[in-house]
Amino acid sequence: MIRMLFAVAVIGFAAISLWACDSPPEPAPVPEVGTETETASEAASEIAHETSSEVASSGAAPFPYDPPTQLIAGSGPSYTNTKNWAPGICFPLADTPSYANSQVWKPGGYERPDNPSQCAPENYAYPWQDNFCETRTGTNMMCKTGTKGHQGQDIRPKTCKTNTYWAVAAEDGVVTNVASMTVAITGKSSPYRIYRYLHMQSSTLKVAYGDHVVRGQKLGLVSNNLGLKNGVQQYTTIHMHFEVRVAQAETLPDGTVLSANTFVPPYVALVDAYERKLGGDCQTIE
Amino acid sequence: MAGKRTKIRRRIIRKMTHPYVMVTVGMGIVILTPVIGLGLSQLAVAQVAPITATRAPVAQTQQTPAPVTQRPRIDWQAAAARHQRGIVAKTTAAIVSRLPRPELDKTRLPILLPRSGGALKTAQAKLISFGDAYSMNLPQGDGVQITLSGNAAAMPVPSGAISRLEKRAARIQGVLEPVQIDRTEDGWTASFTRFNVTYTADLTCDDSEAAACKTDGYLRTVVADLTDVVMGNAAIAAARAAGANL
Repeated sequence: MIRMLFAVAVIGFAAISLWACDSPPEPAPVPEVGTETETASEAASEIAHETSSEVASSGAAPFPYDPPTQLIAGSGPSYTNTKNWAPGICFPLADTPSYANSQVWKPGGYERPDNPSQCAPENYAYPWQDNFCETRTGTNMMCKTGTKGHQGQDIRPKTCKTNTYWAVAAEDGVVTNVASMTVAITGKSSPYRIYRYLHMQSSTLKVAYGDHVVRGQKLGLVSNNLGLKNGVQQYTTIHMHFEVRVAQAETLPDGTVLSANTFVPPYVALVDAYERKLGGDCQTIE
Repeated sequence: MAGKRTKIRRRIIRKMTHPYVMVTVGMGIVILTPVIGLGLSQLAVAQVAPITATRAPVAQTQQTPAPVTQRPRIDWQAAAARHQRGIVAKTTAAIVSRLPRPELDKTRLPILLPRSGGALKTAQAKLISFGDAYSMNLPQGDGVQITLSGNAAAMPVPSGAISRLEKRAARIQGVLEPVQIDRTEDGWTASFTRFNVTYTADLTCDDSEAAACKTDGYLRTVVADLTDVVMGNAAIAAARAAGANL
């Protein structure tokens, strides 16, 4: 009897050991990109991505982030629409970790005179925080108040070093504007989103007006460039201001179409893109 | 009776201290420890998850079906009339001659042009076509740029999403349509619907103190000047197919 028990124990131990070695790690959750109720052809063009299989095949790694619309308390009206407005985009910074949070309401921002250091550790730490519709001078119809609000998402690069980390194209497209602190890319597929990248270093931009770019292609270095004021260079904190604009249309009962090309909240798309980035999606292209 | 119980107890103890039993118990501890540990760690992760990773809201959002992009029927009759008017009056010839013909011809929507002699300089006009959308860049000098874009595709939004904004839309003299004007981080933007197409005029200033960007006045003038239309081969074909007299 005892010998039997011993034999069973040895076999059981061996079996569990083998199972533990062979069992693959739990697969990271793959974002449900491209599973919307669209026709196949629509989905292929609307996902900001040429090869959706790349998205499906690459893993996704969760990371700590605050929910969309949850802004720093008292920082602005926020918004309600939490749709993923740009599914499948490439995360617009080449290096990880990167930190989405407010460059105004965190240390070093003009709403934080108590802590003037933009390099404070809390700026370069998780969790991510949404800051679309934070109070700003720009107007934004997507905000709860429908009036003023931040038109994009601020993202800090890996460390508090300027002109070091690359911004990359979110989608295949064409450079349709280059200004003193702005590069705009229009996606080449419907719905022809416009991505605006602000505050890159002008002198090291790798793209010019009319250039065709591919997803993940280097555009320029994340910097603190705030353009000019009376001919004098101005500076902000080191961050990327990332905007997405999408044409939206409402059809009235009489058939009249009302449309507007509006800023949309990028946070949900960025969380999705970053998880894929951490899982190996979106290689940087020179 | 008591002696019998003591004998049985001694026999049990002897059996328990047998090497086989000792090894079996040891094996059991070795096997069960990681299994229990794994279970406890999973439990701990599950309890900590809401604090460190708030995945649920986004996952829920991603399950929301995204609406299909719609392509509202372009009002080709109205667009063709404007196109013809520009050809007859020869007001569009100069700027059209500067635009790259292949880009123009593959654009399947009416391209808005500034009226000749208006506020906009068109000498360095550049056009990029995406077929159902286009972008035209018009440098104005001194770091001021106007980017005009048209998009025949749009994401449908629920009733009220755009119309509720009508009351804040600008009414510009000479412009029929209400215009949404917003200040941006580097200038101004105006958006409106004409021929059922979404048109946008973006103004960017390299210098925030540039006169063109101090108010939305300059951009309003630009929008008021967008009175002409040009159509390339693809647009003309689409207009004819829709019954326009071209």
